[in-house]
Amino acid sequence: MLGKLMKYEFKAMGRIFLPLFGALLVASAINRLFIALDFTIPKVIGTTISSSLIVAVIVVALILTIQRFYRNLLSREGYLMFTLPVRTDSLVWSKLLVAAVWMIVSLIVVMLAIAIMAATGDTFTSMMASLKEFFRSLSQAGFSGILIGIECVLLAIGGLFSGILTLYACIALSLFVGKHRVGFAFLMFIVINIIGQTILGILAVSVDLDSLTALVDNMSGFGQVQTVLGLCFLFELIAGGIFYVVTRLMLKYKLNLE
Amino acid sequence: MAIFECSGLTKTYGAKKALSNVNLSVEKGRIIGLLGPNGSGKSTLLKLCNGLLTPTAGTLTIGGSAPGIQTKQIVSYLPEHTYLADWMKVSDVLNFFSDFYKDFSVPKAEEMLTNLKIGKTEQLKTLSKGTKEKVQLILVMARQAQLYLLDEPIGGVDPAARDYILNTIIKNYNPEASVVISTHLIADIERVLDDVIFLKDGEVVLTSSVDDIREEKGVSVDALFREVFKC
Repeated sequence: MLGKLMKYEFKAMGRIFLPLFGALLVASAINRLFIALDFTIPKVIGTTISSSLIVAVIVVALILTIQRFYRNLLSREGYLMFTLPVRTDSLVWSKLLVAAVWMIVSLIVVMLAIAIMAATGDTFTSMMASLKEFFRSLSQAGFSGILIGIECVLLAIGGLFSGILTLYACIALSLFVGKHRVGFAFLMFIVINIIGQTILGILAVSVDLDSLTALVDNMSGFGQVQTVLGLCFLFELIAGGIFYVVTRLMLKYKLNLE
Repeated sequence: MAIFECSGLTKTYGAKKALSNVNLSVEKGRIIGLLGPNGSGKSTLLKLCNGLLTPTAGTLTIGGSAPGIQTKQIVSYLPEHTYLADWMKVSDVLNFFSDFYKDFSVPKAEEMLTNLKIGKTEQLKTLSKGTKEKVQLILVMARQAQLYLLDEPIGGVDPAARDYILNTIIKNYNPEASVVISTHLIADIERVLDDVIFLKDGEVVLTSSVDDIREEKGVSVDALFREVFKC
């Protein structure tokens, strides 16, 4: 059933995203032509349109993520979704996975658009050269470049998931109030961020600096990097887990569709 | 055997009691009117049956199970609101229902759409409120469910469509299934009902068969309703 839910979720978001992606890529290609021909005024207009579309893609990715969860689950459409013979977990996961995929695709399309406008043959050669150089210096310092690369991707995906789940939890917490749910969700977002910062602050102060220094000094450079990446990932995992549980509990016990 | 049972069912919103100690049992093969004025708890009861709300106290079972995936497979629910996404076409929602409900019959839905002159290619956004309600009722009645829970199914449509809808309900449900219709438009639906449940301020004040009301009290359901709920 998760697959079927995701199919409709892809469709619902795709009908907004795909035309926008198309417009961005076409505008970038036309702008590339203006730049190549060095038409001053069209070049300026083209660049303005392309950059506005890039901003639009990013804003739409964020707003759609919020809106799909709110409108499809907590507004009237919720009557349909919550009476389907599917688990509530499947409802949340279908939204989460599809939103994450569209965000990643949005990022790729934006990079592609920039490449279309600005890239030359040299750009790719020099980019590959710098990447090679980067990995070479990493391995010289005793790091496995591939390992670090994979870890960074995992960290980014973990951050994306826990970020989306933060939004879901804020929206789900708005079930506590009958009216002004959007405002309340926004307030929750601020409160959660303050709480998160406070926890990190308390952790930072309560750590015994001497033993930490001793611990870090005993590690190799590789070990230090691994520890930092590992702790960041653990933090994302815990935060994401908490927000998921909050979302699920709210949907189970506090669901009250208008 | 009862398809739906609840005992001591209570739902409160803060200090406000929406349902108070409701005990009911609905047999298979009956058409039941869930009757009461606005705010009497009809919608709350139906939402509880569909797992859209969690009871404050008491138990509720459908086909022997508490609301969950199993009960959602056998319950066909029509909420009082329009719940379809505006950007979808009528054909999209047919696909959606046949994807998720094994008991959904596409030919049956198509036949009803044709009878009510609703095109499959129409976008829901372009349909009037009444037509949207008809589409929803068609979707709900095109399932071969064991329990139909219809919340105000005739509230928003014209009297001619009302007749078609009521006939559709009687014609389409199988004799093993039960239909619960919540409404305050009693005169319109009285002729199709087997039993009635009167709800007042979240409490059940009467459960009876329609025949008993007519024979023992010598009045119509509509007349009895006006008497019980006299303001």
